[in-house]
This record gives sequence, C-alpha cells and structure tokens, in this order.
Amino acid sequence: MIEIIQTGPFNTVQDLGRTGFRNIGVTTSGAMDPLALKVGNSLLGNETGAAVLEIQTYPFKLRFAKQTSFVVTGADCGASLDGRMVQPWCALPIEAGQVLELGQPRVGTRAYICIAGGIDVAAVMGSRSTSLRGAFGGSDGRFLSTGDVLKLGEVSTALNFPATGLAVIDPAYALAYVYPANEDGVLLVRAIPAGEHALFGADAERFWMQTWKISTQSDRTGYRLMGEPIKPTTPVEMRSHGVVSGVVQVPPSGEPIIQMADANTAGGYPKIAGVIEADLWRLGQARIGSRLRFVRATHAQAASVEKAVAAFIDDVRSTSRMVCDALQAMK
Amino acid sequence: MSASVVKITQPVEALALGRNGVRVSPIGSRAFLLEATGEFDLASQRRIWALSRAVELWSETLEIVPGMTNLLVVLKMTPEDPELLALRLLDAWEQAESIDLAGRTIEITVTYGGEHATDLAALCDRSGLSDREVIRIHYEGTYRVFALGSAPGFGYLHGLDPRIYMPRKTVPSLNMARGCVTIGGMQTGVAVLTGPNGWNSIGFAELQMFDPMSATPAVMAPGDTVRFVPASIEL
Amino acid sequence: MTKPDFSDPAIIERLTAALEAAGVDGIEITRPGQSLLIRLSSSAKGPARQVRSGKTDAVDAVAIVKAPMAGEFWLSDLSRTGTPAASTARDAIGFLRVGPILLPVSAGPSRRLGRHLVEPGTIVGFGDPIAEVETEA
Repeated sequence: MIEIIQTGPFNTVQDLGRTGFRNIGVTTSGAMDPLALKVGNSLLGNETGAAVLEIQTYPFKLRFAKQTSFVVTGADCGASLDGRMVQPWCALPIEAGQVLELGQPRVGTRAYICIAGGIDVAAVMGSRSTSLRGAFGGSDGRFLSTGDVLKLGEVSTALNFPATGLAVIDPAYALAYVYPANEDGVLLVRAIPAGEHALFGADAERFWMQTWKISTQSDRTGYRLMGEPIKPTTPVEMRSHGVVSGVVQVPPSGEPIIQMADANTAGGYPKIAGVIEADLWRLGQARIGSRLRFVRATHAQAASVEKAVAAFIDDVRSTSRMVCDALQAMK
Repeated sequence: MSASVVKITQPVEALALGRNGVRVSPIGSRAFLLEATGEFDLASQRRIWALSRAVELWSETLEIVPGMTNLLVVLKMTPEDPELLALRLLDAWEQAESIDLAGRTIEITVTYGGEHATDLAALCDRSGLSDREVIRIHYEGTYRVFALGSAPGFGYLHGLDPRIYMPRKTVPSLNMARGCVTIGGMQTGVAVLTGPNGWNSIGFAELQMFDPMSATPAVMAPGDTVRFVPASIEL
Repeated sequence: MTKPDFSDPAIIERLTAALEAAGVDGIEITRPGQSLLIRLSSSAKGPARQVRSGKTDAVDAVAIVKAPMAGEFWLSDLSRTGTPAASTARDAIGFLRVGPILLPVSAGPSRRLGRHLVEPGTIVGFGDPIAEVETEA
C-alpha cells in the first residue's frame, strides 16, 4: 500500500486508457505521456499498461507501507527519498515507511510514479484510469487527495534491483534520432492533414508556418492554442463524428484546439490536422505558455517512429530483467 | 533509422479519398473517418451500422465509433500505406448491405415544462407553436438511436419532427442538469452529465442513461427505438 | 616454488619496470595476508608512481571498484548532459550501460572516488577494475 501525504489538485491514477468505449461516449483517458508510463512499467517488470500515479501539481509526497520498488519517469522533478536525491528514470528498491517527495519539475510537466505491481484500484470497464468527466475509475473517479491509501498489485516475478538502483536512458535522449529537436525552444509536433484541411485555403499554410502558444485554457481534455486565427473559406456544418486525441479542431474563434487524453469522444468542428500517435507524449510534457509548431508528416514516417518507440520499450523490458538476473547470479 | 524521419520538409497533400457519395480522411496516424455525405437519414445510417459490423472484425481494428452517417475506425497501429486502408474502407462501404439493428424499445418518462425546461419559450418563439403543441409533437414522435457519443451513454436520437427543429445555442447553458430532455438541431436526446450544454431543454427525465459498473454501461444502443412518455406537463 | 614477498622493494621495482614496458598503467595483487598496488600515470612531468604494499590486516587506504557486470562504462547517465547529474547515491562513480539500461556503480560506503581506471565508452567485463576509491577521512 501507499499513502498520499501531500498532493495538489489534478493528480490522478492513470493507465493506458479505457479503449473500446468511445462508441458509447466514454472518453479514453489514460496517461498524457504514455511513453513515460510504458518505460517505467517495463523497467520494473510490470505489465506495460499497469496503473501509475500521474502527477501534474507539486509538491507531492507519499509513503510506502511495504517493501517494494518504484521509478519516477516523465518530468524531472527533483524527486527525493527520505530527503536523499533520486535520479529520474532510475528504479530503486525501498523499505516500508520510506517517503518519496516530488518537487517542481525542471524539465517537462508530468511525472509518473510507477510502482512494482502497479496501483491496484478497481478496474472499471477494463481500465484503472480516472475518468474525471464520468466520475469513475481511478481513486473513486476523482483527483488524489491527502490521506488516500492505495493498494498495490501482486508481483508475479519480482525483479531484484540493486541498492544503487537501475536506470533507463531518458527516452528523449535515447530516441532523439526519431524526434526532431526543438527549434529556438519551439516544440516541433508532427501531424497529418485531416478532413477539412483543404477548406482552410491559404490559411492552411499559415497553420503550418506559424508558431502557436499553448494557452492557460489547457488541461488533460485539450490544449487551446494562441496565434493568428485561421478560418475556413466557407462555413462548414459538420455532422457529429468520433474523434481521437491528437485531433486539431478549429472552432469559430480560429484558434485551434488539440484534443488530449480526456478528449471528447465526438466532435463537429472542422479538423485541420491530427497529431501522429508517437508525438502525443511530447505534447503531454509541454508546458502551458510554451510554443509549438506543426510539421507535416506522412503515415509511413509516423509508422517508422512508432516502430522505433515500440522497439525501445521492448528493449527496456528484456534488458532490465536480464541485468537484474545477472546481478543476482553474480552475488 | 535514416535522418529522413526527422527532416520532413516536403509538402504532403491531404489524403482524402472520395467515391460515390462517401469520403475517407485520416485523423492523426491511426484513425480514419468514413463519411457518407448524402442525406442525413435512416437509410444512410443503416449502411453505417452494416459497415461498422464488417470493420469491427478486421484484425487491425482497435475500436470503431459510429457517428451520424459516418464511422471512425481506430487502428491498433499506424498503417504504412494509408491509401490502401482508405480504399479498403470504401470497398467495405460499397459491399455494406443496409441492415436494420434489431434494437430494443426504450420508453423514457418525461416531466415536460417546469424548472428544467429552460429553452421551451425560445422554441415556441422560433416555431410559432404553443408550448403544449411543442411538447405533444415531441412525445408523439418515434425516435431511433443513430449513435452514442459526446458523453458516456448519450444517444443521438433521429426522427425529430422538423416543426420543432432548434439550432444549438451559441452560448451554452453552463450547468444543465443530467436528465434534461433536449433538442439540438434536427436531433433530440437526454443529457447524461450535469455541465455545459448547447442543446435546448424542454423537460426532464429521471432515467439514468449510464452505469459504469454494469456489464452494459449504456442504456441505449444504436438501432434502439425510443419513445418519450409524458408523466406530467408543468406549464 | 616459494611465493614472492610483495613488500620486497626489489620485487616491486621489477614489477614496475615490467608494467612500464608493457604499457600497463597499474596492477593490484591481493592474496591472503598480503596485498600490492602499483599505479603508474603519465604526465608532462614524466611518469609518476604510486606504490602501496602491505599486509591486509591493515586497513587499505585505497580500494578498487570492480565492474559488477559487463557493460559500457560512462561517467554520467548520458541523458542529462545539460544539468548536473543528480545521482541516487552521492558516492556514485559512474554507470555501466547495457543497451537502454544503466547500472549506477557506487564507491561504497564512506568512500570517495580516487580516479577512474577506464575511459568513458570502454566496454568492461565482469570483475574488471573500473576505479580506485579512497576511504574518506
């Protein structure tokens, strides 16, 4: 078990989301940075999609009630264990009673506390993710609060981590060869033109050319962007249709909205583009007030990035187990 | 991996394939939307239901989201060749026989008028009908669930009498209660969440439309027939 | 055959000369009751030597950290080049990399890094010496 000692609002239990229920209007939810969740779980030997804590307001503090192991992935938020610095992306064994504290992030915005066995809240409709909109899943369908006690899942084949820990190379570094580097602090987000792209005429080019700022009206549901408004050449009346996270819709104001993990399941605004699946985690780590630019991509490019990311995660899983086993054998 | 993955400078035309009144376009890398661009009617929707059944069985399908005369297909992985996928969808559409889903008939008891009917007066103004007439036209109708979406268990109901069509509000109600019986354009439905809502409320229903702990969380399913039964009319 | 006495200056001198000739920069010999460490380093001022020899019942001021497994040796965790490494253990002396995984190597309790015995990027085998550590005063 773990006990939440200190938390701000907006921190939730998340897994990879509640897939398969968009057709009855249920938001997928899930981690905003699914890569951090997958890498953390793979390093620990958990199921890839085990439930973790998504922390987006700080400081955050919890106490482990039993001996286990954990890793903090995603944002580098100067974590400490009983006051001793903990390296991000480094799995550590811990004793019962130890206290983990997360401070303000230095890099990124969302940290993921992954624990061996995963957070064992009840699965609702196949997922442990918190559905804030539906008020179910996670910890009673709400944000974590001080005093919450959460169970941990059973560990079938536990990895024995060395006392000094076992780290994974930060994916932002390890996968840099498949992600474009920021340009003057501007995040480059790859996207594919969507159904109503052509309706924007000359404004479509301005969509790709300009630098957008992530407004303060941005959360797990979506990011509202600020910039030079873009408008369709003729007004469009869309029939309601299903949408996925990453869709870039343009409401009448002309300032685009990127739907994120808690995206509505249906939409009717014209869509100018859709962010590729493999780039969504970078948006999940982007700060309010930071700038981004969309870069056109093809499906073939998106598929190759996706493959590289999947291979990295597989590699983390097999190598972590191999190293832990080797260290045990040489003891 | 070659550097070409990172360096994407060449313009890429939007993929949007159309054929015989339908078109397919991508949303991001893994989702594709097929839209029947013809009439907004039951015949088109029946074909969407047939298409949904076929596409749901594809091995690469993660989930399907039938909308209003359209279908969103979400794949497990990004396809290398999106055109191939789009063509397969168009073929599947052409082969899709119109099916009628053998749905249930759901009767929803409604309190028309009263404190929740915040937009009844505006609907009367627009339609030129009396409040009693608006209500009678609404409960005399027989509706079909075309699709679910927007909120957990929310059913888009088709079959509204054109005399009581009412466009969505430009300024949504900020805190409309769950259970409000609403009209949005040429559709009607029952609000499933309390919160901002752009549809026009004319009454209130107690029936809970969604239970996440149930084996079938949503009360409505596409193809179901819905009738509204007036429990009381408070004017 | 009798065992050589590693505290004999003549034997140390011969070993040192042999190491220099072979281009090896150090050797550590331990056996029950006795240990010997010879460290050579090149600098502009010419070769410098450090020799420690003695009975192991005395506490060694210098110890060797050996690789706990095979891997590629790195000083930092590679990914945080911009920020100073905030390490798990304050006594970390480097990392062994295997694919995407990094194993932090520590100096041990109450010890601090003397010097590294391998260059960053070197592939080391299990038990290879990777650093000298000194007991903290």
